[in-house]
Amino acid sequence: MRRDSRLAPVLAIVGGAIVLVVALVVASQLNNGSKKSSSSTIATDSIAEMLSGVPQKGIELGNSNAKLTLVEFSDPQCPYCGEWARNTLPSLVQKYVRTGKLRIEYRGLDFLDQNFGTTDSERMLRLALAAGFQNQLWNVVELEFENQGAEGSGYATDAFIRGIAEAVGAKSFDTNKALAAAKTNAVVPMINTAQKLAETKVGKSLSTPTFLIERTGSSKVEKMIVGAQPLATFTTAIDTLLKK
Amino acid sequence: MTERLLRWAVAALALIGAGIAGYLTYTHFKGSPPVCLTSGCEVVQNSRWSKLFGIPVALLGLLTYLSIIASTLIRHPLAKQAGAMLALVALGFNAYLLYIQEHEIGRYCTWCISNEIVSLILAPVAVAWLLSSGDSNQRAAS
Repeated sequence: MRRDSRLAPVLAIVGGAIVLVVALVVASQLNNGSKKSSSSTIATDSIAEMLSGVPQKGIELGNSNAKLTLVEFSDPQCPYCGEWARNTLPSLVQKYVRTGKLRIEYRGLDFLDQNFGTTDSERMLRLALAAGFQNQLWNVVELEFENQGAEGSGYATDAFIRGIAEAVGAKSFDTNKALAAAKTNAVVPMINTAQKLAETKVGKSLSTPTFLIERTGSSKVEKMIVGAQPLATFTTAIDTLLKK
Repeated sequence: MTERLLRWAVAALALIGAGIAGYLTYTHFKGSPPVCLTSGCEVVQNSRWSKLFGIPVALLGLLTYLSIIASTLIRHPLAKQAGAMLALVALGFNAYLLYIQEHEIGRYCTWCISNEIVSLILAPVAVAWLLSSGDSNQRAAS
């Protein structure tokens, strides 16, 4: 009898715990899971949150007067570039870009298309650079990485490209204007410049992603980081250069 | 096993959990990757699943474990019940986070796994503590 009387509150506690866990799981799924449900709308909110209030101008992210510049050479199809963008970039933006210590230049490259006989990298690059005319390049680049498909699979279809453009979501962003600009030759010089810059500063052995850390305004490479290295590799290099 | 011993066991396990969650919370706000046996910690820590409506999951875990510790210090049956319920919630949510690591992120964070093991041990100990007769129950009965 005494045991039964003790069991009732225990069952109530277990039931309450189950209800709380279900509520937390549902909240987590609503917060995160839904962003993965559609290839066209994924992670719009989290990317907008990461970039919110951070100045963008063309290919630049961050304060133009920041002490250091990180040059990112990446290909939209490259899986390691995507891994870096998803896992490392948010911390760098939070710690250094948002605080005005670092600006990042996006130097998109198109060389995986040659390996796979696709046009995916070029199509995604064109949209990103076209979005740069409206100072929304970084939203597009991060959406492309967040929605990245398997390299060489031809996933960057017209619907995918339009979906990315529509997912930018900023009031000041004209989706149709960006899509139209992506098809013109206006973006070609920027693709060529990135390619030449990579060949000059990194050399023919370039792989993606590759990062250069320079003092803003100087073309001297202070540090080169090849590959999607852990966050600590970047923070150590940046902290060291900031102290000098 | 005495109520006192079980209470100490709950407090000790929650302290370990708080230590792990505290470390992950610290690295989250510092923006540095946790010291890790694999590369999974950084990936999991920076994934979109590491936050719940903008609040780091590690911070939620830390607050949960600290609440459990507090429940062992307050000699009242309600505190005991709250502590046991939080331990069960921690177990359930940690199981969900393990599923997310496996199926959504594809990487494992050793600190998170350690925390999941702690909650797996803590939950039955907390329930045993709840069922045990002790001075707090006696006080409530009197």
